[in-house]
Amino acid sequence: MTPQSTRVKIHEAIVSGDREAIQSYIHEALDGGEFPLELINEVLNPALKEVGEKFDQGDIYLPELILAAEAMQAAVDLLKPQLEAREEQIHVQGRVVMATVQGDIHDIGKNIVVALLRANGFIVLDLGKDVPASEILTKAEEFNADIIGLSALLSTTLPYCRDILRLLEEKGLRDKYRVFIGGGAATPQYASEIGAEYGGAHAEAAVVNLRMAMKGETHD
Amino acid sequence: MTDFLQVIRRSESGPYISERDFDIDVVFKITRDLVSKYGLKYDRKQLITLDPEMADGAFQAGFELAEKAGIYCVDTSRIIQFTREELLYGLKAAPQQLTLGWGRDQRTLQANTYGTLNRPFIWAGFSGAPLTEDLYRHSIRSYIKEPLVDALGHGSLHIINGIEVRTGSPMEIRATRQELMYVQEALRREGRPGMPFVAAESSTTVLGDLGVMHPAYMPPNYTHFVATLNELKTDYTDLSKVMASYEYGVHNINLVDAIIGGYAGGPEGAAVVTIAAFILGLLVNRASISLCHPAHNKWVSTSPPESIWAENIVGQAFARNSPIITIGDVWTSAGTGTADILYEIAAITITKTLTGNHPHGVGSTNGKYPHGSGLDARAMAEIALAVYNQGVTLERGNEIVCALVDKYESKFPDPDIGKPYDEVYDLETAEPLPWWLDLYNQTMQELEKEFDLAL
Repeated sequence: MTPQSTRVKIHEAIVSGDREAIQSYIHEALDGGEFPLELINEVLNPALKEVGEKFDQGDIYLPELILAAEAMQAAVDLLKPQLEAREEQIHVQGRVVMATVQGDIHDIGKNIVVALLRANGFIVLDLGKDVPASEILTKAEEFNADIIGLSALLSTTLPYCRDILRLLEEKGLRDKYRVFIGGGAATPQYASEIGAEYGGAHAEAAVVNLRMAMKGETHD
Repeated sequence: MTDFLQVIRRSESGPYISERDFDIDVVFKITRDLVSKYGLKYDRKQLITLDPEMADGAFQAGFELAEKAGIYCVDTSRIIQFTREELLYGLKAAPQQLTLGWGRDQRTLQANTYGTLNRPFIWAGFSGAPLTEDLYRHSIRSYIKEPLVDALGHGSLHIINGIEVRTGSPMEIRATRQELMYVQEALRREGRPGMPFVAAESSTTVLGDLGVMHPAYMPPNYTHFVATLNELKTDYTDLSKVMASYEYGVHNINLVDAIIGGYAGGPEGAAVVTIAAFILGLLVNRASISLCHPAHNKWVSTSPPESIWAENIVGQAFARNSPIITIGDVWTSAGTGTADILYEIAAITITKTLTGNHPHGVGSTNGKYPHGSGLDARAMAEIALAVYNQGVTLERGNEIVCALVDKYESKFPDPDIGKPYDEVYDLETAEPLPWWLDLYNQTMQELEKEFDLAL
């Protein structure tokens, strides 16, 4: 088996979201002399990026995005010990804590953003749905996050976004994080009113805005 | 029919599965296989499907999904399953006709049968919008004043006495009771006291619903929403809403907003999931009415072509195979005071009217801004009735809808959100300001001329 054909198989396993198959291909690649960081940068990341682009174009849907991200995670988990042994690090776009805020159980929009962020090189801690402000803050600290991403579908759960901003101020941590809000009820005006930033009108816009945030830039 | 307490028992004893596995291994994979098995295919050139076999296939696919997947209870991580016979009996027992409201304002809402569609039932209001008390009280009048409107469904209150209404907080009870007081007051003020309505929209949890289940607020024989969570899920909140109405008598509307691009997959999958959710909702949500709202994952509204196609398939599937009472959300990306909102309303409404879903709306700007007004409802009503009275065919309807979508499709990334109610209507008289009425008349005349509609 040539290294190139193994690379093709790894690429296809990511695109098809096959987390079982990818593990044997990763072993095969390492046995064939591939270096872990090169595999990540030259095969895994481009494959996951391709999946993100297919979603953006409407060619695939959320479940395929999640399956691809899970396959990617399975591959990275296998490569981690090798990376540590070689004292190499994966380039990370940023560390994001994501949550659908307290009272809100509508998490599909948040799940799409999480999957797309992962496809674009972010490390994301997904806290799930109906998450209280105190837990979001605690986890952001533990995770050493750069960004806190909050989702609210309902106008009656938007106030829970404000709670997180308030808590950050009270704890003297406001300047430590960029805080973005998004979801059906969120608007740029509301984000500004509570001292947050607007994630964007849809998931792809959120990825662009968070990437800009990591470069220290502000979106429109 | 399967007893509701049996539903509760199954929510505790059904097969255990993680939510992730239900989303992907059950809903997504079964739906994908069924879409392929029945050859369902979205067609941008045929937003109103002219192939009856496609609608029949979608119905069979939805039924099979309901039977194979069941509905997932998030709080217990268990699947509530039904046999084929139980599902069939649910369809057989579903109401075919409801008489709502009282006195001269009483109206009858009927299930539609393919080939003999009934007069569209116009269910209007600023649905889904968060409103202040002032805006709520003013704007509601503009919808009630529209004579073609049969029933009311206004938005929710998000601030009371300067306090934000938070999901699950005591203010939810306050807001929902206040909402019902305003509805009743407005109906009397505008001389339509017996008008049917759906209310308790300020109640996201069961708190508000329970707070208004009293004749002084929400008399029995009116309606409230019980959602099916995305996709094919319920939880204790929604089951509690069903239980709250159980012995009280309020009708439940099963609110299904399958997400195109989400766990259902594409527009074909969203249609199949919606059909399954309607069938399951007859048993789980004890639905008298089922509401169709296939939401585009990026643009949210029901006006993108993929959403319109999915609505059309769902409507035809039930009208052809097993009629139940279905209504459909008219949700636009544009806001009131613009020509674009009228194009979007026209495309969605024509589709619904011709395929068997009664129109319910208008939720403008995807419910983000308070940019809605009674003229939006007038457009919905005039268009629905024109299409019905003229006997527009599916073929002609499809041509019109495709041409209308061409007018606004490119604007989704940056829609014209229009203006808030108080900038398009006179607050004292609840009449449209002259510039908005002129724009309305001009645009409706344009539609009348271009598409030969008697508006």
